[in-house]
Amino acid sequence: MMNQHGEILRSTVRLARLAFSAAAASVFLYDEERGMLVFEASSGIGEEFVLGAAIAPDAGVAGWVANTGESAIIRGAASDPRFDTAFARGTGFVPDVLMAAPVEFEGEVLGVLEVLDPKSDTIGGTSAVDLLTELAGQCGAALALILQDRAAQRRRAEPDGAVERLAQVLDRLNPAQETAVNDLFEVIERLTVR
Amino acid sequence: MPDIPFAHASKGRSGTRSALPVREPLDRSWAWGSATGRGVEVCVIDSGVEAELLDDGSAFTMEQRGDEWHVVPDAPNDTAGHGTACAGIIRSLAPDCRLTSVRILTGNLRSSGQALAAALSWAIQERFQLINLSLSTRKPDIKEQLHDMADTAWYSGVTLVTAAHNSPVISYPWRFPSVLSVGSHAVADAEHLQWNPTPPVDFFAYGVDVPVNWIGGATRSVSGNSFAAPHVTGMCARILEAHPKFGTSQLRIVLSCIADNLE
Repeated sequence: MMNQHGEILRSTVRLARLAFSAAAASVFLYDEERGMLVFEASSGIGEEFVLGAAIAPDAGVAGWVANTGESAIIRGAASDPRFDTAFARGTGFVPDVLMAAPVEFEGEVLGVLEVLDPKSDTIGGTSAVDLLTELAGQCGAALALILQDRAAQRRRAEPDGAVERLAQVLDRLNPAQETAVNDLFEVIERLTVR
Repeated sequence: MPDIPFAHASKGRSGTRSALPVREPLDRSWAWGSATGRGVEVCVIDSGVEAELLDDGSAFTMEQRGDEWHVVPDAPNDTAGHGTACAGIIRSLAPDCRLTSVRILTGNLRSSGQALAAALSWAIQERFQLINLSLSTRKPDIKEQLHDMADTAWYSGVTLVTAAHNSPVISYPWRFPSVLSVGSHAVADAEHLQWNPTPPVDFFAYGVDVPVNWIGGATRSVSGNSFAAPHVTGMCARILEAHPKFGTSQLRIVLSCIADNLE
């Protein structure tokens, strides 16, 4: 699962950089336990410097996008020596144009996809922000599936968790009890189906 | 019309005067004359605002206590630049309005919708005449709260000026008819205003490659409906100085009547 997770993110940033002929593209994911946005994948200039770096989720353009779920286009950073992002701090590369879109699923922001110095505002007639937003949305949907699966795996692996305890109970059942428990499961499934 | 690289933007349509409930054309000299927003109370709910754009004691932030968010005083502070950009646009059109900032960016993304709701509730209770909201939420559990608040604001003489989402999605509160909602046009003129004959977006204002203030005294060129909304807020501040008893419904009509795309 970790490999699939990483591959989706790497593929997303590569695709974003290529689609916009951009200098670089990066994706941050929100780490809920640390309360930070963490660089998970990067493509292009500086890609080897920023992986694993973390920024506060209420700071910078990425923080704005993460908090609001809105995309953003900011120009003019290169002319300003005070420009300050985790990416610029890590690499020394200061983009002139920064485009960012939320990586989200069902209204929950999972992270932020950024493209630095894209060559064009339109790609085959589609606006760059729309394309970036779609790309970020696809990444979000794939990540959400993986995160759900990872949570399920974790639940199954817990030694004292509900899944393991239930397995131990089932192992001790006689055939009549097993039939009764199956009936009970059917009722539970009906009660919990969305 | 130039291409605008995001959603809820002007398609260049014209509005018709016959759809407006006034016999004679209104002009801007009647709407605001030489008004500069003097004395009009404006609240910017955003990423914070840098000190030089604010009046003393008018910076607030959100503090989480348990599951609840509270508005508390803060030193002027903008962690992202977005709020300073919006405040600068409002000041450029209404330099003498009284600006207050509520910083709602938080480190806890899972409760950012609740922080927005708490900030908006506070600003309505405080009876700011104008609240600029250059953001929205897609979180369904916040929708009804925001809807009730938008109605309360309407009845209280508080006008919410809200930015439509930059993506073609449904989000709130800009979709509610009790607020003024704003998308972008690409005419490089801060006072150019378009009335939208096909809602839910009410008006289009300057929102593409807008020169703005940024953090640390820097400037940027920014695009998005976020930056169109404060142009309308600034115009509303001028109107409210000239016509202090106006509420949201009157502001909507006046803005429609002075739009540049009427035929």
